Formats: sequence, structure tokens, C-alpha cells
Amino acid sequence: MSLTYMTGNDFLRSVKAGCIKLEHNRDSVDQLNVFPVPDGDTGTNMYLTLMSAVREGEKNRDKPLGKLAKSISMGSLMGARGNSGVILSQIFRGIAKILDGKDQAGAMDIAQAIKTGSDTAYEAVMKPVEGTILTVVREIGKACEAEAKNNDDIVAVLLAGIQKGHTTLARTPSMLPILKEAGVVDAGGRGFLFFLEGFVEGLAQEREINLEQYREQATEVTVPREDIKLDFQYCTEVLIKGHDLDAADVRDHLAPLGDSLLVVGDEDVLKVHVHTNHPGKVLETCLQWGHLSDIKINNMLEEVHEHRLIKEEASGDQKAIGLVAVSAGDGVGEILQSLGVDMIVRGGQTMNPSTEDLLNACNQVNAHSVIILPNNSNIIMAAQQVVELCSKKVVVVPTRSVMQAITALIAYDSEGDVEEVAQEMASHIDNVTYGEVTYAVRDSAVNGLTIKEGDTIGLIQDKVVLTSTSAEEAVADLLKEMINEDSELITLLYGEGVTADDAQALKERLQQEYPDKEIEVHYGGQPHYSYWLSVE
Amino acid sequence: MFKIKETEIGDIIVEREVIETIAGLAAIDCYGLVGMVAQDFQSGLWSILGLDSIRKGVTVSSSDKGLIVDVHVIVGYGIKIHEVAHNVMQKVAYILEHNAGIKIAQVNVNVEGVKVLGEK
Repeated sequence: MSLTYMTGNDFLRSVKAGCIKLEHNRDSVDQLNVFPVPDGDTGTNMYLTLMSAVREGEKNRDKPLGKLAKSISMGSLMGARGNSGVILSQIFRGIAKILDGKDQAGAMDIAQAIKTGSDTAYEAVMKPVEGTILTVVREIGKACEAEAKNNDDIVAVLLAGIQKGHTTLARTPSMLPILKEAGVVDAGGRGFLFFLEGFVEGLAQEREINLEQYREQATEVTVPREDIKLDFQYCTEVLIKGHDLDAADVRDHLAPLGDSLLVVGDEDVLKVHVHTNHPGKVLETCLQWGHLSDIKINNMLEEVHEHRLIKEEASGDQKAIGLVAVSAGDGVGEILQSLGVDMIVRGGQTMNPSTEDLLNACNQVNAHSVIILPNNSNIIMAAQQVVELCSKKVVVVPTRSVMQAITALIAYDSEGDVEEVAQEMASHIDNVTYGEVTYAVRDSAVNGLTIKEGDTIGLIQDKVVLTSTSAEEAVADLLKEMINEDSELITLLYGEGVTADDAQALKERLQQEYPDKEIEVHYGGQPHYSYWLSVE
Repeated sequence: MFKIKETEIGDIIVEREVIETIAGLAAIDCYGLVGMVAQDFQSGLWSILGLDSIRKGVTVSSSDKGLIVDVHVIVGYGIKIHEVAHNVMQKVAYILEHNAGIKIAQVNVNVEGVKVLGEK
């Protein structure tokens, strides 16, 4: 789906959306402000200028595009505040020049309007300073024009401009030394990009265009998301159909439920857009004014997450070696993370993660190379397949139990060659004897034991060796088998069906039995297994 | 000549021309300002200054509270003069106080002309 023309009201609403977006990011823009005077007001000035533009535009709602653009230009001129605001007003002046007399504008018109906006802005300065909003707008204009030659989709043209704007913005510190000293990018340029991003988002929303499709086609950073504050997680959109609808009234009711609120439309139809943590409440509230249709609820956290992963991959501060481990249970996850694991893939005996799960985890870890700890003999194969599939260097340390992983992680060295590190880790995993206590899921006979469904069973190194009356007895019996005179440390992780008191009592009992051994007990939270234990 | 700092081992003195140049360069960094002008004392005519003689568009006098700086400028037509002038004041005062350590009492922006832009 593409958008090939824009009407006056589209323009007005988009400017408004841009203004709102800038408002939300006003503080972050203010903080960048070091030039021409570091008074930290660029974002605020631009926002106030835009507010004035929108106010003037609103008076000419439903007028032809040319007329609206002119009124917006006038509004920005009258309300111009600060350097960036004055520049903004000149940009709008240039835009209005091109849109003058038009009822609607195509992609080329929009591109030319931005280009002319930039040209007009350049005229009004004696000594243009590069590395400011001027540079950013100029490059955006050029990029839009280039895109518009082959593409009549306004959204695509604007996104091309935004993308170029971001690369230009990133270069502003090298153009203007004062920015470099302060370690910031240009505030005005950043502010303008926020505006333009909001503009596109507003336009797309108004015309029911899904920006996601563009995000996929274009490179990853077309519409940056890193600055969205996720105080509110769900982007909720709905159309209210009714009579005598009052946008201001609706706005007042919805404002407490979230932010980024947009209510636009006429007496019969209102479009509501809001970021909220309670999409249900929003819908319920809207219901009082009329019928609802076209309900859309997106979880923005997912978007941001995806975006951040891409960013992280691209960013410079990657770790040399990342660690991915498979585990079940929250306690186990915490223990592993405290030992340096970057990403936990949920899984274990009864729910083996797929190769894809592991591959995703490896891709998500912000590191050049990755070590996988499968922690289950059934997962080692899947992990080894990742080695082939992943673009990063992946090495599997074939741990068959979390207990082995813990030992291996203690030997983990974040520096050095990944192969050597992995080898070092692998060399430690056989120093530990691990056992498990769980219950039988069906009747069977193994190793000369007759097991009934529901019996507590004890395993050593994945082999069933005994049955017992209780989990604690099983641990005690297992330890008799596992401990020899060289053993020093006994580690217990208690999981499903075991309380902290049970575990503590067991610890005291074992301590009496083995007074010369060190015993550690931790909460593992693993499902199905009441205890995981290891002796080393 | 303006004494900007006195110490036991000597004073720091800045020539008037230096202050004029700094103020002039600071002013033209401001958006909306399209030129600076100077008045010829004999003919009374205003002339537009080039970048290297920009300081002639600035006059400096001292007062008890600090320096009084006057800048004579041309602004672009269709720009909010009030705001441009305000920006110039802020910028000039900031640069002089910050970079040269000179106390500024006033910055007066004299808009001597307006220029119609573009229309090629």
C-alpha cells in the first residue's frame, strides 16, 4: 500500500503529530543544546514554534493544502522562538511556497517542498554554520528529492529523508567542534527529525498505513525507536462512530490513561490513538460515545525490543564472548546469570528448546562469539546445529546438567579465544558428579529397579539408580553413592514441591552426616525435579 | 582598551577591536541575520560589511555595570525580527562573557535594514 497524495488536512494532522512527538522528546532535545548558546531550550523552542504553527493551521482546517501550509507557515513565523524556531519558520515558509495554490500534493511536491524549505532557510543567514539543523534539513531535502524521482509514495520518500537525516545528524559532531567537545549531536537537527518522524507516523496513522511494512523493506533504522519511553506499553487505536462527537471531551477522558494521545476526526467519526497500559480501559471509555471499529492494539515493547537488538548488534561495545544457557526455573536462571550468562533459553527435560530458539538467543547476545551451555543431553544436538547456522562464532560446551554448567561457569574466563575458553570450561564439567531427584511418570523397570508411577526416583548422571519414599531420603541415598573421600563440596538446588524449610532441614541433616564437607543450598525453582545436586 | 582582569602580577587588557570582532562573529552565527552594516562618518551612508570587516558593525562603550555593545545588522525579510534580535543579544553576551570573560551590561541590536531573500 502506498500513499501518493496528501491533502490539506493530512498535512495539518501530520504537523500536529510531529509537534506532539517533539513535545514528548523535548527534554532529550533540550539536553543536547550547546550551540549557539548552551541554554538548553532548543526542544522547548521548537515545540512552542510548532504549537503556534498548529494553532494557526487549525483555524484553516478543511481549507485547501496551499492555504493550510501558508497558515502553518504564518503561525510558525509569529510564534518563532529561539534560533531553531526561527529556522523552523523559514523551513515552513519554503514548504508553503511550493504547496501554494495546490489542493493536494504528491511525493515529488513534498520532496520539493522540503528542499525549498531548506533553501529558504539557508538564505536567511549570513554565515551558515554546518553541523546544525540547516545541514540536517538540507540532506533530508536532497534524499527526499532523490527518492521521489523513482517513487511516488510519500511515506517512502519521507522515510528516505529521515534515514538520511539520521546519518547526517550522526555526523554533526564532526562538522561542529563544539558538539564534539560536548559529546552530543545537534539539538535542532535532532528536534527536526523528531518532528519529521512524528509527521510520518501521523500521516501513516491517519491514512491507515502500516509503517511496519516500510521498516521491513528499508534498512533497520528508518524509524528510530530507541527514544520511546515505554511508560506505556500498548499502542491502542480505535475508531469511534457516533453523533455529535467532541474530540476535546474524548481527549479529556482519555488523557489520564496514557500518553501520545491523539484524537482526531469530526462529529461522526473520531480516531483515537493512545499509548496506554490499559487498552481495555481505553476501549471501555470510548464505548460511551458510540460504536467502535478498527481496533488495533500493538505491544510496543516487542517493537522496541526488536529494534534494540538490531541496534545492539550494530553498536560497538560488543563483548568478545557471550554466554547462552538453557535452563528451567527462575532461581536457576538467576544463579546462571550471576555467573555471567547473558541469555537464558527456557527449557529442560520435558521442553527442549528448538534449534531456532537457541539460534535467536545467540543472535541476540551482543557479542562476537557465543558459548552455549545446553544443560541437558537432549539439547546438545540442537545446540551443535546452531554452530553451523549462526553467523557468529558459536561453541558448545556439552553440559548435560545445570550443575555441570555451574562448575563450567566458575572456570569461565571472559578474555581470550573462544575455543580455548570453551575447552577450559569443558575440562571442568567432568569433575562434578551430578544427581537429580524427581518422580516417575509411568511404571517401568530400570537397572533392576521396579518403579511405579509417582515414585520418587534418584538419578546419577542421568541414570536411575534408586527409588525412595521421599525426596529428602532420595537425596541422602544418592549422596551415599556419589560421595568419595576426594569430595569437598555438595551443592543442592531445590525446585518444584520443595519448600525453603524442607531444604534447610535437609541441609542440617546432611551436615551432620558429612561434617567435613561443605554444603550449599540454593533455590532453583526448576519444574519436575525436587532436587538437583552435585558433588565435586 | 579594556582591562578584563587585574592580578598581582599584571593585568589582562583586551583591545577594543578584539571585542568588536568577537561580538561581530558571534552575531553572524545567528540565524536570520543576513548582514552587518557600518556607518561612514563622513558621508553618513551605511555600507554592508564583508566577513573580514565585520567588526565595523559593532560599537563598544563602557559603563559602570560593564560593556555596552551595539550591533548594527540587516535581517531577512519574513523573519520574526524580535526573535532574531533576541537571539543575537543572547549569543553576543554569552560569547563575550564566556569566551573573553568580559562583563556585559547591554547588547543593543540595531536593525538597520531588511533584505528580501531569494526570489531568484
